[in-house]
Amino acid sequence: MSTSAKVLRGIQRLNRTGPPRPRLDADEQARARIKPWPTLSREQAWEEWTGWFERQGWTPFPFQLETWQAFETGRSGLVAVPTGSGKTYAAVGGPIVNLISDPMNARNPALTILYVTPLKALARDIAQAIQRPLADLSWPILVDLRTGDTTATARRRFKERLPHVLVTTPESLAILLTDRGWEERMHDVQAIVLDEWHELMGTKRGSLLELTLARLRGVATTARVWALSATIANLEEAASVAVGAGKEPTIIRADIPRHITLHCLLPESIQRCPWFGYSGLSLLPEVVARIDPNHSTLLFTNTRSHAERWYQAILEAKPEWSSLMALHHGSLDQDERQRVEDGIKSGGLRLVVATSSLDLGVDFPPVQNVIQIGSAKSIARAVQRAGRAFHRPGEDTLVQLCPTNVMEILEASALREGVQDGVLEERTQPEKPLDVLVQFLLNSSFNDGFDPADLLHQIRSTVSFRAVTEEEFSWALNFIRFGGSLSAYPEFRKVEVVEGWYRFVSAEAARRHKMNIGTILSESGVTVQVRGGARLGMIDETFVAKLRPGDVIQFGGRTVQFLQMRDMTAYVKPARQRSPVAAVWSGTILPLSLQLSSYLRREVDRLRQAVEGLDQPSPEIDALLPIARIQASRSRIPSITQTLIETCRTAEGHHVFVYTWEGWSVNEGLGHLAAYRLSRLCPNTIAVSATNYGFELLSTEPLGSDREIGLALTVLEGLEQDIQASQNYPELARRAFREIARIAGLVYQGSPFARKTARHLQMSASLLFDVFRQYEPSHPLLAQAFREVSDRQLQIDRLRGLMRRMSEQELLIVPIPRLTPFAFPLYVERIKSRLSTEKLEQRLARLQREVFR
Amino acid sequence: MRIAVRDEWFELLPERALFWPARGLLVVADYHLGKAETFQQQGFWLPSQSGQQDLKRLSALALKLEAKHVLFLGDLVHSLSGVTEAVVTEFARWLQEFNGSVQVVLGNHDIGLARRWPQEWSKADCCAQATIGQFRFQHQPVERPFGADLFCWAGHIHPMIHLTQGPDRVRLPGFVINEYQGVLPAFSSVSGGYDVPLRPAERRFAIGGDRIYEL
Repeated sequence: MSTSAKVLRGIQRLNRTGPPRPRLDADEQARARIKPWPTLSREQAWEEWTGWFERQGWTPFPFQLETWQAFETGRSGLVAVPTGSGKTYAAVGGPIVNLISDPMNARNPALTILYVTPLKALARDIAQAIQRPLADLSWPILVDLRTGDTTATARRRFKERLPHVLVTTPESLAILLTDRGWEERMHDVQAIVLDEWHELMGTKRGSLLELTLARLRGVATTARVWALSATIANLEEAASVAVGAGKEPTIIRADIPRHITLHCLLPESIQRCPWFGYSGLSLLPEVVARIDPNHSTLLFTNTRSHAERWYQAILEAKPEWSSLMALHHGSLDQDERQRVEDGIKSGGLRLVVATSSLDLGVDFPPVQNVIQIGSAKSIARAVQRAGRAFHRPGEDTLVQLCPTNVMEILEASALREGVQDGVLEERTQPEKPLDVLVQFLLNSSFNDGFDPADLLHQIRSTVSFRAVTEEEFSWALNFIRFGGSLSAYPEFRKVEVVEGWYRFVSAEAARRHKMNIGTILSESGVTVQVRGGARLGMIDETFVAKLRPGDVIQFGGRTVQFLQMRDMTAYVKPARQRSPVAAVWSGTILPLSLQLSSYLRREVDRLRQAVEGLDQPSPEIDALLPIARIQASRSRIPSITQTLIETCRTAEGHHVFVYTWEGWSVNEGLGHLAAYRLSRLCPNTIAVSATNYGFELLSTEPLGSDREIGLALTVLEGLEQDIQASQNYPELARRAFREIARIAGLVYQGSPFARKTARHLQMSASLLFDVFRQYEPSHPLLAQAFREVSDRQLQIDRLRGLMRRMSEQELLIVPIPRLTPFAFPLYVERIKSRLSTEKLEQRLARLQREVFR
Repeated sequence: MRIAVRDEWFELLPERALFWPARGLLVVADYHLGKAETFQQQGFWLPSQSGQQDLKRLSALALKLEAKHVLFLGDLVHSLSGVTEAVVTEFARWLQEFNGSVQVVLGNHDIGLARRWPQEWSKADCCAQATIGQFRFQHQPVERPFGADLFCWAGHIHPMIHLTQGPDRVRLPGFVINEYQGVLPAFSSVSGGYDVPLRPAERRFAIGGDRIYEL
């Protein structure tokens, strides 16, 4: 690009994003380096550090003091504290003071602090927060960033001149460990900070980071690890996963009292609230009434697509707010997101419609008003969203919840009970996922590679992989070396063994793997760009595939017309049209957590009592009474010791509706299990559809007697075999295998810049799944796919618990004359998948009127 | 399934091949010999048995139909590097055993190979395309008709047919035939495919297990 073109682009960008935001300035940093290293004793350094706090008008919190002390005494551990309470300073205070008071560092600069954050969008904020006291105190400590967005120049600079503090992501850290000479560079690391650790717990991303850290600890032997986490139920386990197996972590809890008040927005007439749906837009007037443009408001939605639709709807209702509001979600261009975050901080923006992209630790001042559209589906998540409102310690927090359908009114009430009781969900790590292990072996095969005995030792120092057996490890070694498990393939070339060390056979093989590092399975994304102008963000390829040139869509709060698709970029131009189609991203609805389910069942019981006049109704239950009465008159409302099953016959066939309130993934599992068992009694084709509240079985033939239905749902004997035999089990495993194939490097990912090359290496994970099943049916990665389905998706333990509970309960099997309010969402869930969207909404409205009749 | 094209009978086979009974001609598109080996060399696992399995399938099919000629409709091999000694030997053995003539229409994947055609495969005749009666056999499908007198049989795109019925969705390989052209599914058992959009005046035949369904 010519210089003038660069300038022009710069101006365009400036016009688009306003004044340039503060950046990490390389020159300023270089000047900082020239400043002399101060001669400070440790006591003096502590004094200056706490003095800085006082000058900001802050008193260090007890948890900060505790963390600094624990670091001084050489401990590792975990700090549990709500987002935005000053945890960054708690974590870096100790190591920074340590660093500045060590005169050795004046002569011998070394990478001392590694700060790992799961969101690359947060890295810059964190680096700036760390730099603030350093700049004020004139401490010549260098802070740098390393994320997927870091330029090649900055990466080179890093190698030439190490910073003292590096802020990075798990993936970028793994890539840093593939550079030649990383051992020398990381040797002096004293502190590893793991930010937002609860986000990584319970994920394969966390498992891979555990392994990466184990390798790092093998080199940086004196490093202390500090995890920062929001409160989750199993903090001890989370701490132990962070510091590694067999160590005693210190756990520091911030005792910041915080009262959360959850308020549910209720429509004046319950008829206005739909019986099914996830968008919540029918309550737009209620939500708009709660927004005061004089105060800042955050409006959270559960999906990116809903954020787009809400933004547009509010804009149409209140066009005068257009300069005060913005949209923020993970698929928007980084510059745009940054602009929005800056706008919240400066107060220039008064309403931001956001997804969980704003959930994590971006530090901004308290927002007066937090509105959550739809249930958070877990108590811990609701508490975390609440963290965005009135951050100031000690102050009360109010979250307003807008229900997207009538049952969510009940969910809101259940959430509040759960929050009041202080209940939280657990997050447990997957048990030694082999796909992650295979990737880690490959990540360790760069340059001179690894010595298997050393590496096994490091692998077993993690919590997730401490129980890896010799057999599993040697299987994984053979797998990266020879390809197959059953037979050796002489042509296979990936990793070779040279004098006992495993390493890539060629630079080409290494390069190819480098692009595969990480565990995040992303839809292949397409860049959205205005022709001759700004990049707006990313959109799913599958969504673009359905667009025709000329179609008008809504993206990033703008209305644009799709022009053409070229080189993985969708070109658009601004357009004017009311009610365009909002962009849709793939993603699934979150299942209800185990804890929230049990609260919800209690709320259902309260609803029953209210109808029978036994309970003093809460506002939510009061609002739901008209619907509860229809339910009670057409069918029953179950008590806490009953399970409700409704049956009916329509022109479509025989329906059975079962209500468990256990979350859709468990419901889907039980539905397919029951379908399999019933169809074995009498050959029959049964369709299954599930929601968070229950499932529907539909067949053309009668489904069986009441007794048979009851047995199909509650008999625990032969549970595993029946699940494995049920029809959708291989299909679910095929889906799980997609992620496994990607993580273990079984399929070629390619570089986003070289999409057209290497066509001859394209292979879909789905086809590979079939090939594995045919030629290596006992392959460990195939077995893992099936295990993940039963453990993590169907949650077999939870399923078993549900079935045991149902077997002890009274089963109310009620024939219903026509659809009940409970049955309606299940019925819609099934028909939804075969109707186009426009027709669907009309048809739903009609259906709802019929049910009300 | 037997269909009439330009007054000739053709047999669409669930083994993902085409048979012309009047000529005893078996047509196989996108065979992709040595695909597993190509993948293995680049460090991606695919079992070599899949290639052996495909050869067995081909032999059994030719025997069952008493085919006198076999025509490979392009992309006989997956890549030049995948044509290892073992692959050459195995295919040569099949050529020896097959009691009839073999013709190879070259496809885009075969370009490198055409210049270094293995000696052992000299029994097979190579050509860019073949015309038999009013039928043209070539690898790449045509955009528009050649004219009224030629019907084109092609491969290359590995057509896959999407069936949606309520919540049920399946994706099956198949044949797509219109008034001037017919496209064959890929014979290879380790190949994916391209979803063909539904166009008017087209007959679509999906392969489900050992049966063919016209949609």
